[in-house]
Amino acid sequence: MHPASGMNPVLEWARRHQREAPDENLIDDLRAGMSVDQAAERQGMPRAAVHGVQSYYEYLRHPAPLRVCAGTACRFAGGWMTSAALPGTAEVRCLGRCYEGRPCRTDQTPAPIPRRALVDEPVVLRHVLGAGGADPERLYRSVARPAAEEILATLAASGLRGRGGAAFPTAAKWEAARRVDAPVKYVVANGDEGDPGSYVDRLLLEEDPHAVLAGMCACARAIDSSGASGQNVVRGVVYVRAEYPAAAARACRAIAEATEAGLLPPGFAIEVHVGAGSYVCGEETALLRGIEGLRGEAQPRPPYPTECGLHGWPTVVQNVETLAIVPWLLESGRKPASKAFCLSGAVASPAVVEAGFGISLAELLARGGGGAAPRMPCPPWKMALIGGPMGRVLPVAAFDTPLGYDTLPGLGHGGVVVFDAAVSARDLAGHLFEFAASESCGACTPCRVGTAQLGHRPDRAALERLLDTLELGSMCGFGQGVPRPIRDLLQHFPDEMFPARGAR
Amino acid sequence: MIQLDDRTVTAAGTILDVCRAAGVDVPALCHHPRVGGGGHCRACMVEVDGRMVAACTTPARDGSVVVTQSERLRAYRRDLGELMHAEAAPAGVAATVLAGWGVDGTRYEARQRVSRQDASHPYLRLDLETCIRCRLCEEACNRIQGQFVYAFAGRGSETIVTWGPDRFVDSDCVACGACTALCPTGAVSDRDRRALADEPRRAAGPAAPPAAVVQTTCTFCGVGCQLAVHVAGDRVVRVEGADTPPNHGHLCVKGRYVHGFARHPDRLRTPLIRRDGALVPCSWDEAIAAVAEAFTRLRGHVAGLSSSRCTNEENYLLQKWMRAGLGTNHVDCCARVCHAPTARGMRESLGTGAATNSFADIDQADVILVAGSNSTEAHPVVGARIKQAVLRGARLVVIDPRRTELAAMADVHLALRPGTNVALLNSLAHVLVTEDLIDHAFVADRTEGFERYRQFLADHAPERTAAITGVDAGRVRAAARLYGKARRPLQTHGLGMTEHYQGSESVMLLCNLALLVGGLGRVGVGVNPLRGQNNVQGAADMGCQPDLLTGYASPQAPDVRARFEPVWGRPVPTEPGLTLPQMYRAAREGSIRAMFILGEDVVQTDPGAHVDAGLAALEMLVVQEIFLSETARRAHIVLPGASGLEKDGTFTSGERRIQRVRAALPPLPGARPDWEILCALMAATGYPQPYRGPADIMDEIARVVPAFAGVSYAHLDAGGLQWPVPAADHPGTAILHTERVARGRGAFACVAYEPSPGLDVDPAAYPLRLTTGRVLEHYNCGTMTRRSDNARLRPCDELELAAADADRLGIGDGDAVVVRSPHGEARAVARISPRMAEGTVFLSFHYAETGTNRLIGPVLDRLADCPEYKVTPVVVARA
Repeated sequence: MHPASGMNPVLEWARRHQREAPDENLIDDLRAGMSVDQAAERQGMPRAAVHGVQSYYEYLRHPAPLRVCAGTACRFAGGWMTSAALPGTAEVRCLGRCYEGRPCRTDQTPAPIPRRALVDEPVVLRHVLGAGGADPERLYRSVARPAAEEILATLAASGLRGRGGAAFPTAAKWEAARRVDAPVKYVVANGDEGDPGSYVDRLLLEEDPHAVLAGMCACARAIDSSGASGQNVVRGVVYVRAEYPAAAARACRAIAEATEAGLLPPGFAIEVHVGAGSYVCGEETALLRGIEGLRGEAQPRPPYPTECGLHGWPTVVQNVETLAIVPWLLESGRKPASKAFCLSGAVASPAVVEAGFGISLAELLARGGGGAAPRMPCPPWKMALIGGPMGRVLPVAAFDTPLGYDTLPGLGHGGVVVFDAAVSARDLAGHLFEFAASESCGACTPCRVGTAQLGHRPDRAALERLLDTLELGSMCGFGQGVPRPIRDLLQHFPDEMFPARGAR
Repeated sequence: MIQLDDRTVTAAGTILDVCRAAGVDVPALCHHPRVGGGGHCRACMVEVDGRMVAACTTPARDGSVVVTQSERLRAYRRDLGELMHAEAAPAGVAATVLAGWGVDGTRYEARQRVSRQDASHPYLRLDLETCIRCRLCEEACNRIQGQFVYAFAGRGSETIVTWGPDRFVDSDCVACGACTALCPTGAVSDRDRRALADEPRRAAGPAAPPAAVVQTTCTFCGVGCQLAVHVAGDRVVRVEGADTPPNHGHLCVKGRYVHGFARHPDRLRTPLIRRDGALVPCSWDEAIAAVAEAFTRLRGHVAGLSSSRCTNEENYLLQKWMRAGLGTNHVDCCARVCHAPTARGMRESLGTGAATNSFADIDQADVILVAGSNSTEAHPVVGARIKQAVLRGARLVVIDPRRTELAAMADVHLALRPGTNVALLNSLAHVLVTEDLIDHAFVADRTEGFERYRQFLADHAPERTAAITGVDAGRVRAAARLYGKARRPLQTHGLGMTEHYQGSESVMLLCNLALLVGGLGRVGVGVNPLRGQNNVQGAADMGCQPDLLTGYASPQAPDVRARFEPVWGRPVPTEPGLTLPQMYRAAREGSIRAMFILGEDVVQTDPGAHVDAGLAALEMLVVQEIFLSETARRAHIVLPGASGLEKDGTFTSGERRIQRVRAALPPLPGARPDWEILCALMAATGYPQPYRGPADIMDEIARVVPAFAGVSYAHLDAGGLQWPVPAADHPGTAILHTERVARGRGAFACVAYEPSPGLDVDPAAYPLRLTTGRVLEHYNCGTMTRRSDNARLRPCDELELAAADADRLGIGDGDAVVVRSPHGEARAVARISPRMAEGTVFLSFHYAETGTNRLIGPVLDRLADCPEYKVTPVVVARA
C-alpha cells in the first residue's frame, strides 16, 4: 500500500532491502552504537544516506557520556563553561531545566519542575497542580464521546491555535487532514520542545501524558474519514526529543497503560519516537523526516503534512501543549483563555506559570516569578527573550506589553528568559548567532551559509542586509525567524550591538 | 490566469513552470524538470502577491500577481549571490547566474569552502569547492538511476555531499552519469566534461569551442537509447543522453562513456588476406575480387551470417545478396543465439514475434514480472526504469536463479534451479486458474484452447513442481496472486527464458500467463522481450533468418514472391536455408564451404562445440569487422567496416522502434561503411545495386514490407517509429494486439517440463550448474567495452559462486579457478557472491581468455535452434 504521492525513494528502497522489518529505526540503531555499515545493512539503507543521518544529529555526531546544557538560561547562569573546557563532554540545547538557575549537566538529577497558576481555573496545568492528577478513564471518555464532526465543530468554535509557536488554527489543520481520502493517516504529537527557556511540554509529558494521548485520540477520530466502515487506519506517534529521556519513558508507559486498559479508539496505536538532537526537528516537516529515520531537514511546503506527511500519508502534527488542552475543551466546550509560560533567568522563582492571554510581562514576572532574583541589583532587569531564539527581545521599558499571539508576534511557545544588566545585547546576540549556526539544518542556502556569517558582520548595515536575506529567502521558520530577536536587539540596544567608532 | 510582470499568462504547474513557459528568466539551480527537486538554493525567489516565495515549489494559482524584478528582489539576489560565492567557487550555470546578478565577489568570509577533490573513479570527477549543495546529484541518482550513491552529510554550514566510503570509486556508483548531466556547477563531473574544458571554473574566457552535436542511436543493447554525440574534429569528445524517448536523457556506463573504441589504434584500417597462413594487408580491389571469385566458384555452398550490430539497411542487403544474388536461403543472424525462441514462441502464441508494448508502459504497470532478465546490468536504462516504477509503488516479481539487483528489491523472487522455467511457469498458471485470478472475458473473447489448457494444468500445482524448481510453493502462489490481481500486469523477459532446451516453449508459457489475465493489447501490460543487441530486432525484421524473408514473409508463399521478385529482379529461392548451428554442422560435413560473417565474433560468443570445427573446415571464411576479433583471426579475408558512430542507417530497438543512426564521425581512413562494402561485393558477384545511400535502401524495404510501408528517413527524423507503420502518415504502433490478437485468437500452449538432455550427466562428476550472462560494464564479446576504461571498472572475468559451495570446494574469494564441463574448460577468478544460490555458478561471456562458451554443450532449443547457454553441468576447482 502506497500513498499517491510523496513516497520517499530512499525509504522504499530500504523497505525492500531489509531482511526483516527491524523494530528500531535507523536513528535508534546509530544511537545504540552501530557503525554506518552495520546500520545500513540492518535497515537496508544506502550507505551514503546512513552517513547523512549519522552526521546530522547532535547525539550521533558527537556521542558523549556527559552533556552540558548550552541553552539560554544555563549559558547566562553563573559558572557556565563550554564543553570544550570540559574534556569528554558535549553540548546540548537545551535540557529543559532552565528553572534550576545553574549550568545544568546530564549527570545531575533534575529538580522537580515548579509550577503555578495565575488563573482560577487552569487548563494546561489542570492535572499537575496539587495532588491527584488526571483520571485517565475520564480523559479518554471525554474524547470518545463526541462524533468526529462534533469534535471539529467544538474545536473551531473554541478558536484553539497551535501552541508550538506558529499559532495555526487547530480545527483548520484537522479539517484539512480529514478532507484527504487516504487509507492511512497519522497524528503526531510534537514533543520536540527545542526552544531554550521552554519546559512545559516536558512537564506535561512527564506528569500528564494521558492528556496528550487523549488529545491525540480526539485528533485520530476527527481526521478518520472512513466513517462507520472503519477501513482506514490512523496511527499515532509521540515525538520526544532525546534531551527528555524521562518524558519519553513516561510517554511509553502511559501508552502501555492506555492500551492495556482499552482506552484508545479501536485500531489506533501510538508509538514513541525519540529524537537525537536537532532543533529544526521541531519544525513539522523536519520532525516527520526524523520519525522516518532520515535527516531532520525542513522540506518545502506545499505539500503540507495534512496532505502528504509521514511516509507520504496525511498527517496532523500538533504540539504537546495543544493536544493536552483538547480533552478539556471537548468536555467543557469553553474557549481556552490561558497559556503556559516558562520563566527562567533573572527571576526569583522560575516556574511554569499558567496565565491568561493579555497579561503583561511585568505582571507575569511579578506574580508568577516572584519578581527579580534576589541577588539582582535594582532595577534588576534589562531585557527578556520571549519565545525562544526565533522569538522576541523586549527591553525592560516594554515589559508592559500584553502577551498574546496578536499583541506580540513571536510569542512562540511562551518561554521567557529574563536578563539583568550583566548581560550585554552583544552577548545575547552572540549566543543567538551561535545557536542559529549550530542548529541550522543546512537544507537551504541563506540559512546554511548565512547563519554561520551572522557573528562576523562588520557593521549594522551588513548585518541587516544578511537578516533581510535570511528572512526573505529561508525555506522554513527557522531561518525566517532567526532575524526576529536580532532586529529587536538592534532596535533597542544599537550601541551595544555596534559601538560607535572610538567608543570602545 | 496569472499576472506575470507586465503580461497575463495561464496558471499551470508551479510559478517556475509558468515563468519558463512564458520565457521569463528565473534562475533555478536546484530544480530540474527530469527529477523535480527544488527549494534548496533559493535562487528562484519571486514576489507573489507581495510575498517572496520560491518559484520552484510554489503552485501557480489563478489570480496571483507575480513579480520577477523589483528592487527588493535585486537586493536579495545580490546578497544571496554573495553568500553562494562565500560557500562555493562560482562555476558552470551557477557562475552565469551570479554574473547575471552582478556578483563578482563576496563581502562574506569564504570560510565555508570545501577543497575536497576525488578522481579515484575512471569516469566520475568530484570537486567540492564548487558544490552549492543543490542536491541535484542526489535527486538524479535517486530518481533516475535509483542507485542512492549520494546523500548530504553534516548539518548547517558543514553540510556537504557524501557518497559513503572515502574514495568515490568504492561507492555504489554504476557510472550512469545522470548526476553529471544535472550538476549545475561541475562539482560532480566526469572525465569527458573535464577534458573538454580543462578546469572550467578557472577559465576566464568562454568555454571550449562548440562541438557539433549529432543525435544517433546507442549500440550497446536493444533499448535504443538516443545519444547526443558531441564531436570536435574527428573525435567524440562527450556523449549525452538525448531528451527524447526511449531514454529521456538517461544513459548507462556503456552508452555514455564507451566511445573511444571508434578511434582506437586496434581498429582495422585495411583489408587483410591470408597468404602463407598469415593475414596480411591487401587492397580493397584485391579483397573484393577474392571474395567474389570464391563465392562465385562455391555458389550453392555459401552461407551468410548477418550482424545485429549493423543497420537494418545492411542486414537487408546481406540477405538480399545471399538470396537474390547467390541463390540461397542460408542466411541467419545472432537472434539465433538469443531471442529466436522469443520470436518463435510469441509468433505461435500471439501471431507476432516481437514486444507487444513499449518501454514507456513500464511507468504505467502496477505489477511487473521480470523473467530471466538481469535488466539493470544488461539493459541498464530499462532496468533503471523498472526500479523507478517499483520505488513509486509498482509490485515486482522476478524469476531468476540469481539474486540480481532487481531480485533483491522484488516483492517476490522466484529463485528457481536453472533449466526449470517450464515447470515454474506451469505452476504459476496453475495458481492463476485454480484460484480464479483470470480475466474470463478476455479468455473467452480473445483466446482459444483454454479448456484443454485448464485440464493440462491440473497436475502442475506449485506444491508438486517445487521438487523440480526448488521454489517454495508459497512464493509461487504469492507471485501468481500479485500478477493475477494486477490491474496492469506487465512482463519483460530476457535470455534466461530463451536460451534453453525448452526456450521457445517457455516464451509460449509466458504468453499463456498474459492471455490468462488479459494482460495484452492495452497500456501498461504485455509480453516484452528485452532484446540483447542494438539491432537484433532489426536483423530478424530484415529477413536474416533462413525461413523468413524481410518482414517475416515466407519465401514459399507465391504472393510474397510476387512482391519481392519484381523489386529484387531475381527469383527468390524457396528451398529452406540452414540455421546458424546447422551451418557449422554443414561446414563440418562439407556441404557449406564458404561463409560470410558480418560483424559477429562467433568464436567467442557461440558454443565452442559448434563453431571451431565448422569454421576450420571452410575453404573461404570472410569476416567484416572493426577489430581483429577471435573470428576474424581465423578468416581468409577480413574487410574493415565502420562502427555505429561512422555510418548512416537505422536500428530497430526492442520496442520495435526504428530509429536513425547518423554518422557522428567521418569514416576511419581505410575502412568503409558496411553497406558500401556489401554493395561492392554484390556488384562483384554479378548483382549490382542502385543505391545512393542508406535512405534509398530503406525506401526499397518500405516497398517490400507492408509493416514498413510508411517508413522513410524523413518520417523517422521526428523521433523514430514503432512498426507496423502501414502508411506515410501513420504515427507508428506503440501497442500490438489492441483490437484483436494478431493471430486471430491467442493460443494456449500445453507444454510439459522435460529436463534438458544436456543435464543428463553424472551429478557426482559435474555437481554444479553454470549459468551465463552479461555484466554491466561490458557488452557481448567485449571488443568495444574492453577497449575502454570500463576495463578498469571490471578488469577480469569472475566466477560467481555461493559461499557454501566455495567452502565445500576450498575456494577462497579471488582464487584462480578452472571450470570444467563435459565439453570444455574455462578459467576465471572466484568471487564469492551473496547473489548466488548454492549449487549454481555464474560466468559472463565477455572475456575471450575465459572461454566461457567452450563449456556450452550441443543442446539447442528444440524449436528454434538456440543454444542452451543458460544451464550447463560443471565442476569447479582451484586452478
